[in-house]
Amino acid sequence: MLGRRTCGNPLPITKAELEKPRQALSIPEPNPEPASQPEEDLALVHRAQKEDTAAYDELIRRYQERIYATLYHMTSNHEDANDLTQDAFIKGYRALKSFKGDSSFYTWVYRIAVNKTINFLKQRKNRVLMSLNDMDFNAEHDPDLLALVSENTPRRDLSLAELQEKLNAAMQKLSEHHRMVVVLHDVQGLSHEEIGEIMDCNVGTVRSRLFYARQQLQAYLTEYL
Amino acid sequence: MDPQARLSVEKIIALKRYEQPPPGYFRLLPERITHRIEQGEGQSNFWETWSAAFSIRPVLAYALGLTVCGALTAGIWYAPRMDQSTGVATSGNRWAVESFRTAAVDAPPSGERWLGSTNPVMAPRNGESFFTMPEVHAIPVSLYLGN
Repeated sequence: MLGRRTCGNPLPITKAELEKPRQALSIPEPNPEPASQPEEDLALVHRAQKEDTAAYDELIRRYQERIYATLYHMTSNHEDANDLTQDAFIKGYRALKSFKGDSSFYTWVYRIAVNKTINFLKQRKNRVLMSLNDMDFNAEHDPDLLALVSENTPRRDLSLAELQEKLNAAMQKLSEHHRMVVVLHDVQGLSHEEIGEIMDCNVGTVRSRLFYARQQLQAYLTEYL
Repeated sequence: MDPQARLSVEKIIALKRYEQPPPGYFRLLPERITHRIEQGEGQSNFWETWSAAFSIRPVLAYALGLTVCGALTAGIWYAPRMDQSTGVATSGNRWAVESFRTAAVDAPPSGERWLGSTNPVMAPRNGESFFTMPEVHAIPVSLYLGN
């Protein structure tokens, strides 16, 4: 397993791995659309508004992975992401009576989580403690990533885990709003319009933040590009 | 931005999609959350309800802040301003100014400045000084308004 922080022994990429056929696997595509229908969500929300926790449990199951992933990529810390995810869903439940259905439940709960995380990150400004999750096994077979870390870098023995750490360090240098846009667009695969709705800003702002954030990341990661 | 560099940045960022939480994490998370909800955690009082609304829409917080500041500024701007020589309100709220003026007319010329400035109800009549009056007469405000 690559990038296991608990072991502290990330595997370097071997020549054999580099020579594996490139068709094997590719970068997992983000899933931009939630797996459920807004009508079903709305029915569950109506039940949850009547304090039916089972209905809310179902809503959590539908969106927990996406919410957690966003918060994890924002904080680069599993424990913080775990706490924030739980707090966001609890806050969502308590605020559910104010949900009027103007937007989808998915966007609404995302907005709670995003604002909560940005506030949290502003408070912990000077304390960045990374506690990164393990990378999926497939990462070490990804031809694009292998090419990136072997051909374009001066250090041939660079492991994916090191690249993961460098990337997260670079992400943490971005401002909260720029990082959020990168996470929502480039990692989560949301559209500019959805991001604008979640972050309560217009599409032009989203685009300019994304452009600036990518430029910053390029500068921070120039050694690996 | 160079398209090639942009593509490389996107590929590196995509590395993050491989990062996964510990196995079984998502199986337990909903139970933990609903358990905390059932324990009554996050029960919101009045202020927490407000703060929750602001968390969802920070623009509401800015709007409320602006409204409060505007109301304060307007209050200060339109508050009766005192003429330092007579102690009478000279501008601002017309009703207040007129009330104070009427009180000042009734007040003796001897110039107890407090008379016209703060409490028309306590204004002495017939030119008597407050301190020489055997008793203080309370005068309804409606008297000053001519009702």
